[in-house]
Amino acid sequence: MSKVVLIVDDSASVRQIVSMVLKASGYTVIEADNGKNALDRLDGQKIHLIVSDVNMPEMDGMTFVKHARELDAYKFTPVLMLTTETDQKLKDTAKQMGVRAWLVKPFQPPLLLSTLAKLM
Amino acid sequence: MIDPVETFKTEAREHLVNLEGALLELEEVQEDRELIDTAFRSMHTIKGAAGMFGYQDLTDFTHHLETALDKVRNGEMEISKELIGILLDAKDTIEESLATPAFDTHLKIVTTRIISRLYELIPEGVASQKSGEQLPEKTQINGSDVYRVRIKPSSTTYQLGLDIIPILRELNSLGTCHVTTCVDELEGTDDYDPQLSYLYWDIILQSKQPAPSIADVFMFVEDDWQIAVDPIDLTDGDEQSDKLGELLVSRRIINRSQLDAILSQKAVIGSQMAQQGLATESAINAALTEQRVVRSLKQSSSGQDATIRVPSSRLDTLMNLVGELVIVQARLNQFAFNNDSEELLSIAEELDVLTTQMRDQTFSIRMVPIGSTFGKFKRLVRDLSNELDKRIQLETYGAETELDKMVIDKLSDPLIHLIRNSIDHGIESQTERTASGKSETGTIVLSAEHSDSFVVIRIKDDGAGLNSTKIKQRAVEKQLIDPQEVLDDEAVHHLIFEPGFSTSETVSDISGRGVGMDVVRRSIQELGGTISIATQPNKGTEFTIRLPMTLAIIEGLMVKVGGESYVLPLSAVEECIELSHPNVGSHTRKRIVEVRGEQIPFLYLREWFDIRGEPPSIEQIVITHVGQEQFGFCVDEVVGQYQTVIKRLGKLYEGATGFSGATILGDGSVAMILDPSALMDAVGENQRRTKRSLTISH
Amino acid sequence: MKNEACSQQSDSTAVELPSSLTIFDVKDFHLMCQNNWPDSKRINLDCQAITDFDGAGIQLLIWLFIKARRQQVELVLINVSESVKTALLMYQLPFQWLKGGDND
Repeated sequence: MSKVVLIVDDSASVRQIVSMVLKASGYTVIEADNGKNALDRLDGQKIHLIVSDVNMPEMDGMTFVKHARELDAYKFTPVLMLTTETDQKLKDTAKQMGVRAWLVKPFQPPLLLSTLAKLM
Repeated sequence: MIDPVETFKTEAREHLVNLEGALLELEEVQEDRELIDTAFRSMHTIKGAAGMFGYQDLTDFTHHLETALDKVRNGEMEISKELIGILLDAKDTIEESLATPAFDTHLKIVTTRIISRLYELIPEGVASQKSGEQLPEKTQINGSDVYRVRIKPSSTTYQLGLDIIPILRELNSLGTCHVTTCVDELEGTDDYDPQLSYLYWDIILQSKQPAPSIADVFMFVEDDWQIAVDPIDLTDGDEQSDKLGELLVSRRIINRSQLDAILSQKAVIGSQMAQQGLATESAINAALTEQRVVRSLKQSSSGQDATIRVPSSRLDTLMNLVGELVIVQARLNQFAFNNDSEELLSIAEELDVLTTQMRDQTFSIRMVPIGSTFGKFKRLVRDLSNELDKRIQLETYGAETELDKMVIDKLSDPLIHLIRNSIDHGIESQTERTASGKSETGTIVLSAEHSDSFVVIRIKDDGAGLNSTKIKQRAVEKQLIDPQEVLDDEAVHHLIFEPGFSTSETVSDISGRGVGMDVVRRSIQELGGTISIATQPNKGTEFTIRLPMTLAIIEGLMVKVGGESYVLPLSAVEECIELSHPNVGSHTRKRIVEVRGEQIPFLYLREWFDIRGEPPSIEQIVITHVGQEQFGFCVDEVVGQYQTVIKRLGKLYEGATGFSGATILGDGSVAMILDPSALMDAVGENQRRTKRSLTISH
Repeated sequence: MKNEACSQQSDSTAVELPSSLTIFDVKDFHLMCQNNWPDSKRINLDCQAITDFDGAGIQLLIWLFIKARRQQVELVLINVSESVKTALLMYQLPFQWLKGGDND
């Protein structure tokens, strides 16, 4: 059974490249284009990793993660945040919520793979 | 009208042919600017065109390839067989993809794989060292380093979504891992909560990857987990260090007295310790793993150079014979010269060349890297610091510096003494150190390097430094100096080398009775070397030992005093000046000559050797340097350069100061080899004695 | 939750491990083990169903082995998949695992 990754990002091209790279490496990918839609996908199905952008319409990444962590089936799921800036305050807030992994955009596909290798 | 897309396809195929041609040639030639340019331009054109004709996937794909070729163009990346292979595969794929504008799944997978392979080759920023900064010795065996990696995840680790399995997998990808999973905390818990983490790991990792790559594995967990990555020193020449008991002591799992108690029971150490509850099974397993790995690595490395063990005595005999050969050859040279025979001279010259080569080779046989000695010291520092309850680390540099084996053997004791001294008197206790704002752990740096024709060995500590006041006080107490005597800092420091000197309140077992330091200096002098001190209160002390490189054969300056020949080591000689009016008239034997504004003391050898008769009207002063100081020797005549083999003086001459040996000249006569630093010290000693006796007689 | 199938074979019992043994599952599975630990000299842990596991799951397995050792019960893993085997090999545990049954 392959591992399932949820990618949450409002940019279609980011979703596409992440999807492409992960699928090529054997992962199953679920896409969502903002936090609210992402929560809808958290319907109890097994998800091994959540990769989420920070800035999104409707519901931003931090809020999404906060809500996700309140759900029994996802409270321990590892989260990888994607960000264009390295805001320390943001990171500290995320840390409070249990987020430990970050990846700075833009990134090269192989970096995404090697990052995932440290989490899954 | 022709379909523009067809045009694009045709052109693209043409460019692909060019690309393939260039790549195949580059595989042979490697460094051809034009070929690289061709490859780049082909890729660049295809990329641009593809974008225009709706082949978006192809544009994206070729973009990466273009980037790589660009880096090659700039010299940021090298052409390798691997790279060419990847690019050729890419070319094939591009050809395939011309059929339709969008990639199907198959193409998507293939292209992603190619991109991954490509990015593995592209150089990323490597952590660079500041130039000129040396790193402490890291042991490499077969190009790999060995590390002890300890990992203790936080107890809420799993709840944070972090996991040990990816980390173990990553470490395994860096090299060979020997893992010990420590289960003792899991065993010992009464209230097991499966959502918490109890396990921790002790791993020996053998890897060719640089340390930053190893640290990288922990990038997301390092804030929460306890992680330690410590390089393991395989040059540790100490046979004891990899015994299980020693490993457990050095890991501070048990202390030395517990080890001794166990050893005295003569049972298998591991099981004894487990039984007595001194160490957990995991701890023992982890230590055994380290032992096993390190031992097998040490064995495999020593098996690599084809070596032959030779008894030292045979080398000594060989050296002596070579020495004799050199002397006889010198006589032959002289004879040929005197007899003016062309033929004989040319034969003598050929013999000279061969003898020199033979001499150099023989000497290099006895050259041994000093690292083997350094290895011993690690154990010493470990033991002593434990004993004295101080935290001290030893750093070594220049372990590959080679010295004659005999020199290394003779240096061993003096170095041990200096290190003991640093540990005992130099480095302060943890509380003292923290009180003066220093780090808890003191550092001793041991370094060796070649400098001109010398080997320079330094022992530096960041301890308390020498206390000039205390030294002076002691010297006065021991009647080594006058209370009124004014000495500069350097002179005060050198007082510690005087026999009978020791500033410790109680004579500690560790440093001995203060006999150490003067023996240290004498040993170094016997090797033809010098020792100097630099110290700063509260900052530390540095001892610098300089030894001449060639031991048994020296380049010398031959001089004559009273008809007798003497040789001064050429490496010490700075210049020779004429002296027409020696400064006669002082009670001491020390004279001063002024050279370009500098006052340089010199020794009047005629007087020193008690030579009767009239001195020549014009005498020569040979100015030498002894450490940082300059010192002159007044001689009748300077004959010239002379290469000599030093012969040890027999027992009869042992008490004679100032000679480092003797040599047989071409005419069969004997010349004594002078030791400038010993003579300088002897003069200084005399001076003080004379002064004291003068004072007393008042 | 997953059911645990117990079959008696002489004096050995088989316990089926659930398909998912991760941080999400360990609490329940641990509770079940505490309540339904078979009373047998030998227990075969059937790993056939396992498709998903993590460090928490492996830790639980280790704990089961420790518990068995204390009670002098022989615990053996059977029908171990490649991925589980690989993970266990990475841990290089001191116990004798993967012996007997239909392994290797």
